[in-house]
Amino acid sequence: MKKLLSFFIVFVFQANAQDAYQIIKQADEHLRGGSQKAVMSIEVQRPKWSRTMEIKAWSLGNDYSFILINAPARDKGTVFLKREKEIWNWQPKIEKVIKLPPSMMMQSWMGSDFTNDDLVKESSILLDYTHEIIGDTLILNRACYNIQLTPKPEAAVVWGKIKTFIDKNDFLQLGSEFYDEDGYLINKMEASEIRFFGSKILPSKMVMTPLEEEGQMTILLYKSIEYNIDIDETFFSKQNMKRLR
Amino acid sequence: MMTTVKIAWRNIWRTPMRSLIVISSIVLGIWAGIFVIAFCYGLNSQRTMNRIESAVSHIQIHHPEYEKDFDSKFTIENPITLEKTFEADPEIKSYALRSLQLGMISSPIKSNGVQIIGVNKAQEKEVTNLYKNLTKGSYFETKRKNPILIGEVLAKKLNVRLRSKVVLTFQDNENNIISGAFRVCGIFKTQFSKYDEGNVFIQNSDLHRLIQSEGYHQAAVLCYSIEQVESVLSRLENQLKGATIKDWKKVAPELAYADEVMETWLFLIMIIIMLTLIFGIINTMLMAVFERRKELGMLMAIGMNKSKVFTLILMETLFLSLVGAPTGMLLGALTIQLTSETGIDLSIVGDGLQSVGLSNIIYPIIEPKFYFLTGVLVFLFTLIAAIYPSKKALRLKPTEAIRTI
Amino acid sequence: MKMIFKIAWRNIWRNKRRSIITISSIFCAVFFAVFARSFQIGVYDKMISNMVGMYTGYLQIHQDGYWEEQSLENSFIPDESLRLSLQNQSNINDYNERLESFALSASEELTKGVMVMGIQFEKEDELMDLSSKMTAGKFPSNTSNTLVLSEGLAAYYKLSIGDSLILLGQGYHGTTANGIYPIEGILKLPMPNLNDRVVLLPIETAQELYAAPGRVTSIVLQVDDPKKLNATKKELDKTIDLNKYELMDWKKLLPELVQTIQADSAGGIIILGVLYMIITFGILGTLLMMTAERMYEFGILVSIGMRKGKLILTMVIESIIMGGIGIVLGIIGITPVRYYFYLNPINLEAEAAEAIKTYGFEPVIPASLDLSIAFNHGLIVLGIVVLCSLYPIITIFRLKPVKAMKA
Repeated sequence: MKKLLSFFIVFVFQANAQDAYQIIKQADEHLRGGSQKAVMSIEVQRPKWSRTMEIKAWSLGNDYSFILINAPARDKGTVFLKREKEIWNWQPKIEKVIKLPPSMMMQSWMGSDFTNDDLVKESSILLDYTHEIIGDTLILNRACYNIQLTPKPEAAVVWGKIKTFIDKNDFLQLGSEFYDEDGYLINKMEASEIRFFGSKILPSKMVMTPLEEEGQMTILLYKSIEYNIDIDETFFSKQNMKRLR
Repeated sequence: MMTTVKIAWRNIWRTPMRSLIVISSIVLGIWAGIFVIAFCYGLNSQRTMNRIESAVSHIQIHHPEYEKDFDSKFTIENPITLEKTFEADPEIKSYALRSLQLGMISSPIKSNGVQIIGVNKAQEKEVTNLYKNLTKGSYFETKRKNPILIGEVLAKKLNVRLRSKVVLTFQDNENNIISGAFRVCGIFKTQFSKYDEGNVFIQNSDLHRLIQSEGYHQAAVLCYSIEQVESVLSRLENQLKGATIKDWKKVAPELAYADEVMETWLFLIMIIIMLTLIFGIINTMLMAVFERRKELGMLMAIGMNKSKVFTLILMETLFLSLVGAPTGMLLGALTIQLTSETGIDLSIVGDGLQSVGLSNIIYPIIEPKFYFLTGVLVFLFTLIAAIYPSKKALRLKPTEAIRTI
Repeated sequence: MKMIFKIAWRNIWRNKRRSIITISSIFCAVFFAVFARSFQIGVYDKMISNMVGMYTGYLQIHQDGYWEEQSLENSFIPDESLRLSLQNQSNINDYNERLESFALSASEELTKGVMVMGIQFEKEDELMDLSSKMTAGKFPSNTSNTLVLSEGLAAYYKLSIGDSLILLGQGYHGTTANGIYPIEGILKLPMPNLNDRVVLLPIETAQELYAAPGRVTSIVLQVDDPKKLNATKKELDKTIDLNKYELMDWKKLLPELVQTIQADSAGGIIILGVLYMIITFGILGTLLMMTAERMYEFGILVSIGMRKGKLILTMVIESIIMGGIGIVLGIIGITPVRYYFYLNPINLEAEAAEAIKTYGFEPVIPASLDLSIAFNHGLIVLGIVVLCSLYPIITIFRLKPVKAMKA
């Protein structure tokens, strides 16, 4: 009897883990699947100042993306290219493509609360962690899975654990909490203002808040998203960096 | 002549007090000279030893192109042959191979640029004293994977402690970006806080696994004693073609020249000490001569001629020096013997020492030639110092001298 | 009491020869002690002025909190009241504004992290003597968009005058800092690690690069007389708003230098101690002989009724007077010598000198003119004289007049 019970528990546990993995995978694909082109704004807020950037972004899955900055004037024409784990930068004033060295990967991206590394690391959510459903939550009146991500022993991530909240119906990632190993909440990500972009339903606003400092946050606002546009891997090239509009 | 000598000898022991003072001055002068020399050399040698043991080692070997830009693709050729060569050399005590990478270390709240030093822990222990500088944790004694040692200053900056997780990010030989998670296994503190902030230590095996290549960038060699470095260096230069081999003087030239700078200082100080000594002796002897004017006047009155009086006084001084000089050298030698074992604790006079790579205890050392040198110098100077008072003695008028009450 | 003074004074001049010998031994003591210490202190002062002159200056003003976290976000715009306080300070000649930050430099294929210093070239030339360090080209003008490269960087990129270098980084409030700048000059900085990674820009160009118009990260004060530094700092503490700004002297800016000097000083004090041993012995010897010579005189005085206490007092006063004379003469005597070595310091040997020069230090041993050295050591010698007087005091105390007169 004991053996059967333990087997049953293991089965459920594994099933749980399988489910959690699937849920996250689906959420990820919902957000990022296939090719897309988005227009958005990123607002960086600090206690004494704030700055808003207007951005156009193209992406193919998780591995390839372009970010083109259109405003403010000083940054207009700046392009970031991501190819798998590498990031390249183009500045119109300089007219040269520069690869960002590891020393710059940990610096904040354009002064925001995201690091260059965050742009590269997103796909690791699936690979570097084990996933487990630990409960249910209600966010924006939507029932969500409360999933805990625990870093695998060898994973090169700084977090102790991550909690992420995925909408049960539409697999929208509505929030994430990043903890260090002592259990302190270091970063928080909250999504809101859910609406339709074409045929997809997505949150149009995402706020990233580092909790160590007061009055600091970065706000992403999606203005429009086009899906399944006609681009492939060759589109994401260094030569194209100069031609983006 | 013999009479003068006899009188001179007896005079010394006739007035023990006076003689004692002059002998003591000589003894003190020699002792002081020996002590100061030994102290300075001890101080310097300590500094050099400290640097060699903590960072520089006796000899460092790199790929010829490596030190231009520290490009990690320039690894040492044939490390196995290298190790065999080291093993075979009787004058080499120990060696350590290291991989070096420039990268970033990150914690949840902060990142910092660091030099990542990959070590073979057993080898490294024999070559540097890093393992002695741990304030917390252990020197890679852990079953956990990917242990890392970081400096206290850095741990504070990143807000991590023992067993915290950190991520190292760097580039491999093909400029791909590599990262790995490491656990803080030990926290160290050296005298140089900038060093602590900028260097972290991991095991070579872990580093090689991450970059999937086995290259080493630096080999450090320690000989049994610093005198063997030169011969080991020339042997290695013959046996290892195609590598840059540097001794500690080239790696840290400021150490090499510290000796020379110190010698200039020492020379200056010794001159001052000798001059002080000479004037002290002149004064003492002048006093002595005038204290004896009755006696000397008496001698001159009964017929001793002036040159004999001069010789008498000089001879007395000679005897005093002959007694004083060996005593001084002996005392000096004893002091050095004693203090070179127990050391001189400098914390009575200053606190800033540990931060600059010195323990508070200095062990004086001196080359034998200096004993001889100091002894002879003081001996000579004493005789020279005695000339003036002796001459003054000649000016005494016998009649006046007798009359003084 | 006055009587005792008179007697003491006359005793001294009664036997000129003896007194002169005693005074001269004290003179020598002060002379050599001060001589030795002046060199030790002279070297430290030189080290300080070298290191301070290389980069940090004696005093710096930052935004409060900048030293803890050195980022552009902690830059500030110097306001009028600050400028006025500085102008009104008599000990401050001028002040240099700097904007410093990091950037990624890049050429066709290579990149390297560099330290960017936005400076006022002429003023920094006064402070750091930049023009003598230039190895090629010239200073940019205040408004030109060109830069000066450190030698190590020029070698790394294989660039020369007229080539351009890209700078990329993060500006104020998170904007991107980027620009491409032609090289107008190359200079060699004394410290090897600085020589590999420094880029100098006119401050206005740097402010434009980092989107930080009018902002500075530090103001370096050109101090006229370093000896008055503490007083100057105290005055400035009162006139500057310490809630907004922090005022730091070189000791806080270069704590490792302070430690190095302290460590060295400890060794120096031990050596000075040895010197003092010899000095004490010299003075003691002189006093011993003097006592022996005067035993007869003491014997007579005591036997005709002078109280031993009074005799002792007279003798002590004699010692103090002679000590005083010797000390004053010693200080007067050593001063021109110190002056000479201040202007003509001892030069170090050729090879050692080369090694030291690579670190930006002058290879010399100068003497310090600090008055407090003379004062302090004069006092110490006086103390020694009084201490040594114990021997004659005890001798008089134990004196048996009849025995003394027989000597």
